[in-house]
Amino acid sequence: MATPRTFVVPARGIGRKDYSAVVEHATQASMRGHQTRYSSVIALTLPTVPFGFFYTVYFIFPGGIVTAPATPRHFYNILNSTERNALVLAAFFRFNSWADYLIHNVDEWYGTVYGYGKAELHWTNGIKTEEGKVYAAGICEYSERPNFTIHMTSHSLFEEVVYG
Amino acid sequence: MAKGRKKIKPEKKFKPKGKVIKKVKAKGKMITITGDGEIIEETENPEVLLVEITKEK
Repeated sequence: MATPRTFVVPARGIGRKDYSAVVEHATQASMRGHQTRYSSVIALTLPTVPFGFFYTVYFIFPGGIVTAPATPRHFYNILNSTERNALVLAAFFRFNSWADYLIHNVDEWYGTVYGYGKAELHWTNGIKTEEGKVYAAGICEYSERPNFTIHMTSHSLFEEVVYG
Repeated sequence: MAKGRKKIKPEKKFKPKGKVIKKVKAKGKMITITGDGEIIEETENPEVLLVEITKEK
């Protein structure tokens, strides 16, 4: 954890009737924090499958790793859309390990939604990742055509606090 | 256990069961970008899993 810096309150206003060292100290920012925003975007063409089947695509974290890092990441939404007004699926899963992901041994199922043209899962408070777990989205379009192209957008934030 | 006290059972988690049918090579791209628009990860033709839902509840 970073050490908060200290500073000297400049000698201005001392002697004025309305001067207060406490107020002057409180109005000077000593900590800044921010969250880095990331978006995952996919545009994939896949063979069409019957209802009851879907595809899963895993999230890749910075560095090319497939398991969540120690710094938590907050997922806020999964939005799947297609160019046609066909039935679309959006889902979000958590797996304990890569081996569990490969056999679809779900640890936590965050939801599945369907929609025509687009389907969106949205979490106001975000889903916080746990280190070492694999996170994957469910994607699919159901129509009579042999192939489909689906677009997915997912917004997430990394916790980062900067002192200074 | 005191007389008359009921044992509280843990809630059953709702987990749909699925079976991976096969791995499929998708045509297209997976991109991770920062809020500034900087591309930090890009994968072409990623491998996705085809899953069949075997149990709804």
